[in-house]
Amino acid sequence: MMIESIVIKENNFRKGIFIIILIEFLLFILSGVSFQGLYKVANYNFGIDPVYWLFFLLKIPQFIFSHYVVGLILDILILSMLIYSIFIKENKFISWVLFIFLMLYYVCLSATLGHRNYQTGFFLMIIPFLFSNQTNRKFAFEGIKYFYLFFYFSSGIFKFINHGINEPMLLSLTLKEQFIPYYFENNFSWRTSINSFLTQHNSLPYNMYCVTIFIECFFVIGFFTNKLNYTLGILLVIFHLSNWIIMDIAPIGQLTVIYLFLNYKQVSE
Amino acid sequence: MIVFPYNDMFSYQIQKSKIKKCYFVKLNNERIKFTHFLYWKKDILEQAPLKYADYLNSNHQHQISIFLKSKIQDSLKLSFWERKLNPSQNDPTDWLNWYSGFSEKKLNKGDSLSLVEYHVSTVKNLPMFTDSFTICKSTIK
Repeated sequence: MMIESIVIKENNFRKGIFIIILIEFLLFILSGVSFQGLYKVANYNFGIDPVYWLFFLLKIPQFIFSHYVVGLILDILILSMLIYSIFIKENKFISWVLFIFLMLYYVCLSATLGHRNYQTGFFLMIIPFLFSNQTNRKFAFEGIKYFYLFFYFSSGIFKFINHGINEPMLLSLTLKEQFIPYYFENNFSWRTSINSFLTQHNSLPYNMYCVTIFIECFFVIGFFTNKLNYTLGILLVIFHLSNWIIMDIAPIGQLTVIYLFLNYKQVSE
Repeated sequence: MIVFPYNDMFSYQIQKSKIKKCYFVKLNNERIKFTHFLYWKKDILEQAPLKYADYLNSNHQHQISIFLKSKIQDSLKLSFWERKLNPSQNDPTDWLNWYSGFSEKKLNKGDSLSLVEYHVSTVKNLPMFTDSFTICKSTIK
């Protein structure tokens, strides 16, 4: 009875992750930036990252950018594999293919964006499902958790190392710059109004910047205990929601990471 | 990012200059709007002019090419990596056509497209244009 209950919980947890990835990928398609949307990308820039280089050395992104049908087939395959994993059953081979395709998509999207894109959650979260052994899977989830703990914690630390914390105008000016296109298009939505309010009160953005540093540094606690994972998940919701509202950085690719922290208890069991 | 999760975004001290350069594409002398698109598309349409202007201003060299030249001295090795990693040369007409297509604008014969650099002042509460000049332009034939 107890084993049955654990299996049901694990299935629901797995389904939750795949459903979120499906929603994320549908958002990519709706935005017009899925594989087929990137057809004929005229100029791409990729960072100094050997993983990117590997794909470009093999000429895979270049091939996708120049063949609409290939992009379309990849989109359909990804959607089909996600639906299969959610509604039919988990399959290790499918998880591997899905992981490679989504990582390839991340590389193509980031190269098109031309700047660092931290939203890796939508493909890294598949890594634990590449293992069928439960112990290995649990270790993989732990690894992913530590990866993101370091990611958020390092962000807080770098704000000290690079002296961002000593610059009271940093966030205020960044906020202005982030919304320049909105002002010039006269797109005065509620988020633009909030941005305008914040940029007129310089001390408020600086205080928010300090709170952000505190939240990011707080993630170090996750290295030592599993008891606060839910709290860290809630902090992530607040952090990313605020980022979207005031910085115009939507955390679409990180939804699975938030889901992991909020439901980490199920992994521990 | 994939192999090492460091994150130093928004941690550096800001430049003291109050003038920021922004790049927009104009179709028939009107800026192409993009903030109404969903996040990722908006981001690409915002970043693409900046990256393409960077490419044109660097004597038609991509960032990756500049990086490779700074790291590899051996000309044979350099040529190999450049051949494999460097995107093909981008003609301004092709790029402007791609941009307008990506921003869902229909082009007609005689339409003019241009990539414009704007200087934006952030001294006052709201950002303001102070200067602008055309980087490249093309006309649809």
